[in-house]
Parts: sequence; C-alpha cells; structure tokens
Amino acid sequence: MIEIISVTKKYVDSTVLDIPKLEIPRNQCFGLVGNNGAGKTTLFRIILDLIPTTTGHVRNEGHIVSKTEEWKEFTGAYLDEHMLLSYLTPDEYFETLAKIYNLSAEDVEVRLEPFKELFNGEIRGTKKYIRDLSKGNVKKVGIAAAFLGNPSVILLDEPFENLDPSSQIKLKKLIEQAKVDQSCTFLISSHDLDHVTEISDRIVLLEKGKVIKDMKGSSEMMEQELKKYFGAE
Amino acid sequence: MGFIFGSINSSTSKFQGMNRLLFTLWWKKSIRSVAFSRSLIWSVVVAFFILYIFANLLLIAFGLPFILEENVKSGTPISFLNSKLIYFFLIEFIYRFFIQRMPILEMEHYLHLPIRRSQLINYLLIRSFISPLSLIVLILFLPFSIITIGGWAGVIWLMTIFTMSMVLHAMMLWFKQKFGDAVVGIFGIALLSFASFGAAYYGYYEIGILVAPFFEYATQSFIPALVSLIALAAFYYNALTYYKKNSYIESLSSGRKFQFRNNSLGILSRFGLAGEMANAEWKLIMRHKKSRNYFFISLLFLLYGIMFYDDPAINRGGPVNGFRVFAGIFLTGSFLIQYGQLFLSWNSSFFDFYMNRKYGVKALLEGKFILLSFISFVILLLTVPYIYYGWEILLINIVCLIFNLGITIHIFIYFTLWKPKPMDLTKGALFNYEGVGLAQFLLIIPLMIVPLIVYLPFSILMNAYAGLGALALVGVTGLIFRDTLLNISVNKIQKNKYDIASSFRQEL
Repeated sequence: MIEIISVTKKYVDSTVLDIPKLEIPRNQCFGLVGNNGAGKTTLFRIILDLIPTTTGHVRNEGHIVSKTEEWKEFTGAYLDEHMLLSYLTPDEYFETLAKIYNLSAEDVEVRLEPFKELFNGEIRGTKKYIRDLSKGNVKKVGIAAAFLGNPSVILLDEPFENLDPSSQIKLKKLIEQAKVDQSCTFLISSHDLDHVTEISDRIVLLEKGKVIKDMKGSSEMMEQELKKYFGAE
Repeated sequence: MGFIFGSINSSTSKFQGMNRLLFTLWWKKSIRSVAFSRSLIWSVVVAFFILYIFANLLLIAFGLPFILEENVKSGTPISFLNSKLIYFFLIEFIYRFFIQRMPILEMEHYLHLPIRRSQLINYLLIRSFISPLSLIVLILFLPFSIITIGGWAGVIWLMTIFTMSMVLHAMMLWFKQKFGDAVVGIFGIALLSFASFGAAYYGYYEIGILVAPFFEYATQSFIPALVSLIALAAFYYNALTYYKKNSYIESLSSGRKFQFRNNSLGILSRFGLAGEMANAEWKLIMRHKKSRNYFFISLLFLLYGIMFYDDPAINRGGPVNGFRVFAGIFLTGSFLIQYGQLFLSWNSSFFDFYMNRKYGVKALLEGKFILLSFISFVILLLTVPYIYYGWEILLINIVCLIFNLGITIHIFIYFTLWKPKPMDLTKGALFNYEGVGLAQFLLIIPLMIVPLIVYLPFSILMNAYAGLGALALVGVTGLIFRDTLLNISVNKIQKNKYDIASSFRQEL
C-alpha cells in the first residue's frame, strides 16, 4: 500500500502539489490523469523520492520513502530516459539491473519472456546503444526495466506515449497479466483516456496539484465522466 | 557475463560487487562517449594534445631541480620552491575550477534503483579522484623530491604536496557544485588570483613567505603530511554532507539558480526581424551555462592587453606597430573569437525553427552579425582605459574593430559552416569539446594572417599609419558590401541545409 500523507510541494511562487490524503491499496491499478502541469509527474517523483516534499511524506508498504531505501527493492519505475544508462545496449542494461537486483541470467530471461512480443525483435540482441534507439524503443526498454526486479509496485509515466497502436495493446495485456500473476500495484499516468480507463480500477483526476475527482467503477462510466471534464463531450 | 551474474551472498561482497559494477559502467561510458565514437581523427587530435601537455610537464619536472640549482642565488632551491608553492596551488585551484568535472550528475540514472544513496555518493566522490589532474602534482614534483631533497624527507614532502592537491580536489567538489553556476564563482576566483599575484608582483606582501614554513617543516617531519590528511578528511566529509543534502534531481539540474529577469536588449528591436533574432540570441547566450561562460571568459580575455602593452620589447616598434595591431584584432574580437568559433552550433538544437521560417536562416545570420557588432563595440569601450599606454591604442582598436566587423567576421562565418557540429548548451563550458572540430583549429590562421597581410606591406613600404589606413579602408569596404558577403554564407547554408539540419538532429 502507498500512503500519501498531507504532501505539498511548493516552489518559490507557486504550489504545484497539495494532497492531504491519498491511499493506494495493494493490487490496485491506479490511473492518474490531468492536464499539463496538473502535477502528475511531480507526484510520481515524490513517491520515488526523486524530489523532496515541502511538507508531509509518502509511505510505501509502511516505509517512509525519504527516510529509508528498502522500498526500492520492490518498486519498479520508468518516468523518463534519465532513468536509463543511454550508453549501454539494451542487453547490457538488463544485465546491469540484474546485478543490482541480484538476479541470475535465467531470472532475466524468465522476466523478459513476456516482453518478447512487445520488443518485436528490435531490442534484445541489438548492438545499438540505447541513445541511438527510436523514442518508442527507448520507452520499451524503460518499461521492461521497471518490470525486471520482480517488483510489487510499478510506476509508469505516460507509458503509451510514443508507442505504436499494436505496442500499446500489447503493453495493456502485459500490465493486466502482471496484475493477475504477481498481484502488482500499478500507478500509471496517461493522457490516453481510452487506455487508462480500460486498465485502471480507479482513476484520480488532478487539477493544479489538487485531487478533484477520485473514481472507481466500470471503465465506461469513468471514461464518460473524464470526457465530460476534458470537454470532449 | 560470468562476473556479472556471479552469486553474491554476504553483504560486504555485495557492497564491493556494486562498486565494481559501477566502476565497469563508468569505464564503458567513458569509452563510448559520443565525442569519442563520432570521429576518430578528433579523438586522435585530443589524445595527441593530452600527450603533448604531459610531455611538457615531464620536461619541466626533470628540468626543475637543475634550473633552481643554477638560478637561485639566495637560500637553497628547496626553500625557494617552498616559498613559491602557494602560487602553484592557487593556479591549481583556478584550473581545477574550470576543468574538474562534477561527478554527481550521473546520480539521476541510479536514484530509483535499490542502491544505497550514501554508497552511490561515496563511490562517485571517491572515483572523481581518479583523474589526470591528480597526476599533475606527482609528475611535476617527483624528480625534485628525489634529486634535490632526497631520502625519506623527499618522500614525506612529496606526500604532503600531493595530499594538498587532493585537498583542493575535495574542496572543489563542494565549491564548484555550490558556486560553479554563479558568475560570483568565476569572478571571485579571478579577483583572488589577481590580488595575490599582483600583491606579490608589486611587493606589498608575499603570501608565499607566510606559508613556506609549513612546506619547509614537511621535509623534517611527518606532521604537515598528517595535517593535510586531516584537512583532506575534513573537506571530503564536507563535500559528502553537501552532496547528501542535495542529492535530489531538482538540485542536480544545473543552470537553474541563475536567471536574468528582464534582459532584452531593447535597442536591438529596431533592426526588424534580424533584430529580433539578435535579441533571441542574446537570451540564448545569457540563459545557457556554456555560452554564458564563453561570454564572461571573453571579458577576462581583455586583461591580456596588460601583457601586450606592458611589454617593452613589443613597444620598441613605436606607438603603432604590428604587435599592437594584432593585440587590437585580438582584444576587440575577443567575443567574436570565443563565440564565433562555434557559430551555428549554438543554435543546433533549434535549427529546425529557423529552417521553418521565411528567410529564417538569413535573419539568423544577420541577427548574429548585429549582436556580435553590438557586443564588440561594448568591448571596444572597455578597452579605452588602455590609452594609459598611449592614445594610439584607441585609434588602433577602432580600426581593428572596423576590420573585424568588415572582414574577420565573414571569414569566421564561412569557415565555421564547414561541417558544423551539434552541441548541448546546458553542459559545462571550458574543456567541453562538444561542437569543436578541425575548423575551429584552422580558424586561428586566417584570423592572424589576414590583417597582417593588409597591414604589413603598407607599414613597411610607407609607414605604420598607412598600414592602419589600409586596414580601415578594407574594413569599411567590407562593411559596405556586408550584405553581399553575408549572402555568400547564407547561400552556403542553403546549399547544405539538409546535411546541417540532419547533423544537428544527431541523425547518424
């Protein structure tokens, strides 16, 4: 379970995030939506302790994220390409992560097996460095890396962006599979209302750093409500 | 593969394994750096340059004992060197400020992984000590410590000096991270060095004498070595705490602290579209670390004038002479030379923007021309105090400015359009060779030769003022035909626009 407890984030002249309380129970697929600048990425960065909060704190399975680092063992994330080592080939990067997570070569193969379809033969075995891959393929490497450490919590920022339609569908299947097989908790931000409502059990809508809607229910219902907010209908 | 997947059980071996892994990654990163892999010739040139510097160091190092032996009249060579060591460390502090790399940016790739933050920071800080900079002291003073001092005294003395150099490294880790982005840093350092060297030169007080006993004592006792080791530990601890406190990605990103608010140069807007481009270019310069440092360094270059004008040997040729003309070209062109050598590369990330505008490339070039003229003119005003060395200097500098804006600038533009390279403006300034290619090396040749080709024949056959007149005439002609000359470069860009744009987009 992830608990966000009276978290605010202020910069000199503005408050970018203000969440009094938000709990994400285990095995939930949590979708985060909102317009640009709503604070989605900021929230993810705070959950990952990449930026400090101004007040409040975040607990991940009971660990306060800014105080301990144990939670990193079971938390996988891909927010942007800074999380990669762009001078390695994808295979080298996976090997490096295996070392960090203490996985064997066989473990890596098992963990990456479900990604075979998503990779489409363009990731494994290539001699190209990550920095020379296309944006979509870089994203695929990052997402696979987030899954690699056998995590129980996975954060993905805009995972569908830059992926082609068939890759988007494959990725959705992967997320649903991991939810069932490993009872993973997912936190996913997206602008793609169709996809995010389809996979999420719950959707939270951010506006200017505040939670203004917290929805659970059928994906059709959530999608309709969101489209109303975003002015599509 | 084997060692990467080796089974690791105890926590100590995991700790060491992690350090080894991080070290392997660093090695891969170094040999795979973009600059290395893009051009073989370029890496050969850089390697050659580094070898050359180290060869020079060796030469000085082995010469030092004998030079001091012969030339030091009062006191021993050892006490003489000890009294000058502080100046060496001052210089070391300055070059470390510019060259030493901050290891910490790499952190952002690891922060989300289960590696302990303190281990990561410790590793990065300790690794940063492995650098050619750390060797300089050893190379420079090893022969002296063996030949002149000798024995255990020499070993302990060298150890002390080496530890002092490491203290500077640890100090710089903190200093540069904290002040590196601020102008205060550069100017503070410049001030410090001018104050101490100036004071020693004019004999007000000699800080060298003040600290000499410390190094003197180092040849007799291990206490100074111990003291410097303690200082090293203290400064390392200081850097460590500072980095731990600031290890969030928002504090890692550079250039954030430094912002000009209202920094449009209103006067430029009078020149239409090109003026707008000039204005945008000015903001580009002020809002990026690399360009900003180039700008301030070009201001520091103006101090070279003291060297040029103060030297009696140079002034033997009369108030107007070839050296002073060269100095004029160099001083009034200081920003042109610094900034102009990477002409289009400054805009490499935004080149598609200009491609997309009607007459965008032409306006960009005109804008740069206007801005360079404007800044060069300001620089001319800054050189006015040099009339202390004779009013002719102002005359020479005005003529040189006209020549620079009429002719030199076009030569620069034309040459830099030969395979311009992309670069990342947010990365550091000095010794960051991104964007630099062979063209930048060759540029210095026309820069020095062309004005002299114009000046020398007239000054030799008639007199120095005739030479100046010729320079002015050619310069004015260049100004009159500015559009024609500029169009040559515009056409060159138009012809190669697809190549340039694709190289800027880093498409291979």
